[in-house]
Amino acid sequence: MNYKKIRKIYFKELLEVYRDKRTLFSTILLPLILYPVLFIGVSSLMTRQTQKMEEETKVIALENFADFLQNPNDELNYVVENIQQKLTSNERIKIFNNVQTDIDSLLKDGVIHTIVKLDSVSLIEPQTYYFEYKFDGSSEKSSMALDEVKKIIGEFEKDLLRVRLSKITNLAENEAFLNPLSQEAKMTNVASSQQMLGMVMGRILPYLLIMLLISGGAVVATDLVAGEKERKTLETLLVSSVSRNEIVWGKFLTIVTASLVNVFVNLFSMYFSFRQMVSQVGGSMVGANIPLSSFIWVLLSLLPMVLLFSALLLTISTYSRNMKEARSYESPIMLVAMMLAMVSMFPGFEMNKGLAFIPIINISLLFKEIMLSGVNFLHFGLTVGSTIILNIIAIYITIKVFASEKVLFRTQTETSFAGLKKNKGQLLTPAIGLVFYMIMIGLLYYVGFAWQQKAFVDGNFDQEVLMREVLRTQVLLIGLPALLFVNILFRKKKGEDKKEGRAEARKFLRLTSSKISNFILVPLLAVPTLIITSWLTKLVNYFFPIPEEHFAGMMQLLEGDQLPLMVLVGVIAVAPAIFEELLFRGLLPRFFEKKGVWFTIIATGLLFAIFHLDFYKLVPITFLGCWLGYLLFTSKSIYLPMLAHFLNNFLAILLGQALIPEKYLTLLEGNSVISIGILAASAIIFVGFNIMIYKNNKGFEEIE
Amino acid sequence: MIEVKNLTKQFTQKDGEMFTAVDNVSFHVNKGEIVCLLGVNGAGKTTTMRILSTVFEPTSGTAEIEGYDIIKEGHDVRRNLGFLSGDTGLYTRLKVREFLRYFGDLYGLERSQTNARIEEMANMLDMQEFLDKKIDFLSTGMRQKVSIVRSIIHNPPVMILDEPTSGLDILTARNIVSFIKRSKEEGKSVLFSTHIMREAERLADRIVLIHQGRILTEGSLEKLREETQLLDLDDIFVYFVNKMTDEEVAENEL
Repeated sequence: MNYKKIRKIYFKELLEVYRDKRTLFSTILLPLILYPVLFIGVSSLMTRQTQKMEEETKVIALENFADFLQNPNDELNYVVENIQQKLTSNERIKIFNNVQTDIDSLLKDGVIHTIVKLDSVSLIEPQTYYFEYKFDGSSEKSSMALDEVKKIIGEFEKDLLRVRLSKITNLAENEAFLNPLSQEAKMTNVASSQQMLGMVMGRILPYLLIMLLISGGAVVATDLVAGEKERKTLETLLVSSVSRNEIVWGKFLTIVTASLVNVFVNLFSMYFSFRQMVSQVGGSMVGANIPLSSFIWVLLSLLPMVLLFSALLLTISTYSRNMKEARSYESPIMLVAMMLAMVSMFPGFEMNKGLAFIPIINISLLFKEIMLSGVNFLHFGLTVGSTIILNIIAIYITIKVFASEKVLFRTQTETSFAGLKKNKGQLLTPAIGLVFYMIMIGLLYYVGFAWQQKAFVDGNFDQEVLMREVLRTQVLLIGLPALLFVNILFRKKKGEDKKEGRAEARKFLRLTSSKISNFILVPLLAVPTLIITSWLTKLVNYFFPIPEEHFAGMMQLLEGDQLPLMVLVGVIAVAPAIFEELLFRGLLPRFFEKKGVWFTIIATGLLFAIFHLDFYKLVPITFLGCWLGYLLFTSKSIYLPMLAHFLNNFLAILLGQALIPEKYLTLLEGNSVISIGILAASAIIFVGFNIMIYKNNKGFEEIE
Repeated sequence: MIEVKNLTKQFTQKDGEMFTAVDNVSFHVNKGEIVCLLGVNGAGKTTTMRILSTVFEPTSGTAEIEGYDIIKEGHDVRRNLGFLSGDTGLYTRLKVREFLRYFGDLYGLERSQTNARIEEMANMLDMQEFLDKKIDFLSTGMRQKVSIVRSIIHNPPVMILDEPTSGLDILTARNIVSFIKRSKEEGKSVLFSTHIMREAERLADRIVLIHQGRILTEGSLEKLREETQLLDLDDIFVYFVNKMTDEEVAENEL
């Protein structure tokens, strides 16, 4: 690689990017104008508006007060007269006097802002007055009027108390007697102004930074490859004496630069506008500075993420045929990034060792942490480290994609129905597989979960209904769609041999026999596998503590004693072993096979885990799913993964029903030598037996 | 020197079937020779040339440019090659001089070398007046001249020009044709494609007739005339196309 050429490409791209008026406007000029207008203009307008409303006169109506006037009771007279007088004397309050009208409807119309009703009075000592306040909660002015009235009456309450006390003691004039607790109470805010500002900044800034990075990078990235394709200049570059890697690096650095420029311009403008706004409201920025070191740490942790996004955007741009396509691929990425970045705004979300591994969320929370309490080196290291690893992968993919003729010169693929009919094999691509999978997940989520919800009524649940609905989901939403799809693939026209079609379908689903020895080895693996998965669950729990309720919910399915064991086994062990396997080991692998056996095993394993829609089980189920895929491709038969799946779920039921003696379970608990020894033994058995299965079946199935 | 050996390129079509764009093509271009790749649209001319430029990889077979293999020594191939096609557009946001200097840099030329070369070519192709204009504002003819200078900024021994005169007015086209002749005199190997028979007649030392990805025949115009007893290149072309179709029919009948 020639660094001089990379530099030449980099500078030329930058020149082109910033010579384009649209880019210049949207990345530099717009932010410089936008924030002053947004912060200063809008905020001053808002303060002025609030001030204006506070100063406006509010109309208060007094209901029932007249009925209590001229009463022989002294105190009652005192109360009624004083309240009336205090309200009237307030210059911002006007008393509505026309008592004959329907004041309730005037309140709704906004003519009157609050009604104070003296509902009743209890004359038995101590006398009590019952008030009712009527207001319009949808009107800001009414709420303000209510607050004001309550404040005035509250103040009067103290006066009344003083009057009452003065009858029994002469201490009533003593302030310390009246306010024993709030005498000269001092307010000390232990949060330094740095922390206060850090809290505000820590919540908003991460989200803002991440969004700015992506949006700034996206504009440029789209232009750099997809734009070159559109303008037919890419080939000019490719035929010149540079290597494709040099082009990738040059363009990559351009995107990184543009993203950073966007961030800096925005932050700069935002900072000044913010300062301006604070001083306008009369606040002071003195002491409210975040230490420079915090900013440096933020920028340091920002860099790997900039690189990651840049590589991602460049890959999208390379894959897209034109700019429009690139933009449409970018938008879902933006959406996901946006949702993940928002985590910093959620209260109560704090950085931990587990979250440090989740991209975007980790950076977002790391910023917040740095702003609030300074840098935690473990979290910083984990976040930056994991992002850098992702980075290397992303850059590697970008280079691969750019070097691939099929991707770089992707042609318009025409999907015609006639063409599909002619050759149904075309349906078996990863893209169509994913679409099919997403439809399945949609069905499960929107239909299946709705069915299963029927079992939960008012916090109680009916196990019988639940089992019925789970079975219905398994059959209708998982097994049936898979079989229908296979039917479409192998349906024969009239006159053709239907038997042949069915035989082809069976072969397609690998409903084929396998060696007996396989069926002996797999049951021996059931317990070791369960032990390994339970350790994986423990591992997940260490990083992401599983909430108690979630765990209880998981077990609910397996516990319960309302039904005979056979029903549970049927619904939770037998049905998934048939229907989930038909989908995940029968149909889905066929979409991915051309990409290689290992790829298929991992892809379907992951899809299988995601299908369970349970974040905490993702890792253990991925492991299980991959193993089931491994069994499929070694034995070349779906029956083996079916058996393994059945055994796994069956063991889980036995655990849930507490049918396994306690003495065995205690051996597995904690991190004792015995439990770790058992894990090690399980791992050895697992690896050993799987190698045996591999050899026994002469390796993986060969894919045509 | 261009040496094309059994070059084949297949694309996968949407219905999953393979389409052979270039079918076992072999020919060569000597030093100081102009060879014309002649064929109708979609005959495989552009694909062949794109493979030679290392943009595409061949499905099988290979080729050598100045002795460098297009698959294994792509970088050396590009260094020795000036390539121009309808797909090699210009960066319209740059000025002509900036654009040419950029490519000079990419070919590893010194700035002084690049400047001298720009000066020389601008005089030859009458480009002085728009050297400092943004490419955005240039006409089609001007742009094609810029493209040509871009492709040979590094003075390569081999030139591959895909329809260099398409869409140009007569004057500019003449200008370019005479430029190609001059390049030959300088000892360069030139491969150019066209579907304009007259251009082929006027320029080519040898003509390679290509149809449906296959080479029909090759040779100098005189040799082709002799072989077919036809005078007009149009007629010669049609003669060979018919001959190929007849052979195919005969093959199928067997």
